[in-house]
Amino acid sequence: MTDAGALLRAARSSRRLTQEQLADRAGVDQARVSRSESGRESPRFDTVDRLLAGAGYRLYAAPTRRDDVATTAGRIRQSLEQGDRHAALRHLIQLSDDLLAEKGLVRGVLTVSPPGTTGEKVWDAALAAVTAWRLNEDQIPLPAWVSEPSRTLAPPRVLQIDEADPVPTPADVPVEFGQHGVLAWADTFSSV
Amino acid sequence: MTLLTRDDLIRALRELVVELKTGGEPVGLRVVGGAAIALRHFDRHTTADLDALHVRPGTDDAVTEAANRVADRRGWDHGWLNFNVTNTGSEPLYGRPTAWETVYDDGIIVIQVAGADTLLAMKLRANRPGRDTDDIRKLLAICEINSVEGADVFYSECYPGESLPDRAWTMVSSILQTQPLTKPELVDPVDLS
Repeated sequence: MTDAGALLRAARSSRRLTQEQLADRAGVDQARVSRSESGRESPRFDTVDRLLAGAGYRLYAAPTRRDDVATTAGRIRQSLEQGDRHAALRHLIQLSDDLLAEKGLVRGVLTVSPPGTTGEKVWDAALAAVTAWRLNEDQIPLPAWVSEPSRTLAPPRVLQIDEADPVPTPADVPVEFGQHGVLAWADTFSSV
Repeated sequence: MTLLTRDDLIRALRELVVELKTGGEPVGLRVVGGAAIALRHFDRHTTADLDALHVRPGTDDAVTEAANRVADRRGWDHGWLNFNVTNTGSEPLYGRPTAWETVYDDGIIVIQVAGADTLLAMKLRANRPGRDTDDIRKLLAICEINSVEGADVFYSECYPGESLPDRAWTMVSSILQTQPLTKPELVDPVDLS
């Protein structure tokens, strides 16, 4: 299920608004913004609609039950905060699988809302890399957030999942991962 | 779709058993991959789907249709139970006999999960960095394989005529160098009744 808190946080972050600024625009108090974003409570639909409108967004329905990039970013952030990098990778792989499972515009729709930060630049870059990789495969235009400078690392880095993981050579890395400075094996994202 | 927890898998398999019983035909379902690990071996937190081998007896189509009905009720995507792994040639068919552990058997519906040695063979074959590394570490411990040479012999027994792939060799070497192997705590038995 889509995480409303992640969508709200991502929408606000994309406009570079503080919670207080968004609260002012939406005519609610800052505590409500905080509670809605944190996931501590499930916000009412009209609250979500109002807060999204305050950030210049509107909610639409898409014919898919798959998670979008913004929701995945929230899950990766949560896994990293818990120190579970294996879980973070599984969420990234699941995003890749979900994008592959959809075609055309619906695949693109899953990437439209800019994801909030995961708390680690290499994971923020990896989200952009997976998105670019899967959209390019279906010749779908990339959303602007993918090209933000903060989502490209120089020099390239690995995701550091397991200390026993070998480091890939550039030939082992999908082109889009190389462009975003993330060293990840292409077949890590393949089903057996 | 959202990743599946062990509890998700157990509840869904219980519902699948009910659906299959309604069909009235005998079904033999064998589970491999991360779902098999989570159901029978050790805590893995989540898995993306349930990989199954071709149904014997019964038909893949009948199981897929039953699984789709479970998915519709639970709001999951179709494909949470799939047979994709059967197209990869990763099942060790021609070497040492593979072990299967029965987790449900009512005389008509039988569900089995792969033993640790079968899962280790398949994980060594896949050897996807980040994705398989920790599973390989824990399965090596369960199978009491403590050297890369031992892993190579084991692999050749499972896949006759083949050696441990180069990257798997590197991964097993690193696993054994970085920390002593520790057997993971076994999960509780599955109750699908």
